[in-house]
Amino acid sequence: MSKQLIGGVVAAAAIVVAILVGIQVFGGDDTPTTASQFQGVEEVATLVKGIPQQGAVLGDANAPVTITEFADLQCSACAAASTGVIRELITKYARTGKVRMKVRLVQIIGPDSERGALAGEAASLQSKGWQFSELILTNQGPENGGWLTDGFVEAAAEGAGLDVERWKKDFAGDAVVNTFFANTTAFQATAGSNGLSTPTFVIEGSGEKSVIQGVADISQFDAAIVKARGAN
Amino acid sequence: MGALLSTERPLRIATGVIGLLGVGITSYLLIERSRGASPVCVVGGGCSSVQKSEWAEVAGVPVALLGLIAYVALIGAALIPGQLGAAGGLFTLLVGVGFSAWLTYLEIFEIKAICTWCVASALLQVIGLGVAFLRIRAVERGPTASRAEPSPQADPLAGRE
Repeated sequence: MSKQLIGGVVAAAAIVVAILVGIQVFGGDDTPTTASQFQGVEEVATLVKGIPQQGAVLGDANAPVTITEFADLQCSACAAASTGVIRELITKYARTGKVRMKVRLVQIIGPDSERGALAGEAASLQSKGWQFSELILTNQGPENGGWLTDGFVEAAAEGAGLDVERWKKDFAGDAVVNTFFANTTAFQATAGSNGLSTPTFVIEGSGEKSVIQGVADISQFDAAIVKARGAN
Repeated sequence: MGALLSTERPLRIATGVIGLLGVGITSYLLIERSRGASPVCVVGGGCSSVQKSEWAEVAGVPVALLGLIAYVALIGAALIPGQLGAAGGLFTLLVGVGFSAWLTYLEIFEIKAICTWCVASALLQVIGLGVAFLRIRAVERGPTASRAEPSPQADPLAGRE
């Protein structure tokens, strides 16, 4: 076989590979668009099953301590906290009625974060905000990687067990936008000397209030919860 | 051994065997994928992460299906004797190895999970590419090789697969 022919075959193959890679890199919207493509659907459902949830609050409404998490669904530290310490907190404190946990979604990473936040607040209107956020964070892509699309959040809504039609209306409505603005204002108010970063946890009760930023160990939360409960 | 690597027939058989093994792997992955929510990965643990990642498709077509098509094409190349089959096999494997290299890069650096079956397929293609180059060389020496064989069959692969 002539060298030219082999060269032609090699060149043609290189072009085909380049096209395939190009389609994958620039093709865009090939992120999960059905709930079955998500990981951890059952795990997340089991995590919160049986714990009362009202709006964005998970746990007993009369619990003496409240942990508020400000999270951006695109932030990788939020995903790390979500699959780690948050699951411990839910099991140890929310399930036992000692703490109520509130998730407030904000935008800090990039434009797609807003879509995630609005979608998550729409899920909270069905009292399934925690399922939704946990599911997104478990299946999170790279920051500003273009994965947090309308199709992605809709698939997550389905995976979180939401009434998808109702969720769609809420997602497009004004209520979630107002909540999102309120979250942003509250988030800015809690920002410590380190400035704004997610996740930020506010632990408060009748005692001393603490703010924990970033990925923290459960022991830091244990201590903060004791302080928040107060001296008695 | 020298005869095995320098005459076309054993190399065509090797190409066909690699194609069949590849069809097995890619069919298995496609079946796992179609099961959706609960894919089972026999070896390792990264298969579901890899299969559910955004990289598991090209314009909506599952990568495993592209692999299956390539391996079927490889079997076709094994069945066609001479220059056409050899060039077709080389082309298929160059594309396969090139794209597999990209996918392996994605597994390591983007998805951060390794799918054992995908790696097995990539290795299979690397071996296949070696065979394809040997076959090209064997085809070049074609006339000598066919004279060395006392009774050349019309279709050496008939009844073997």
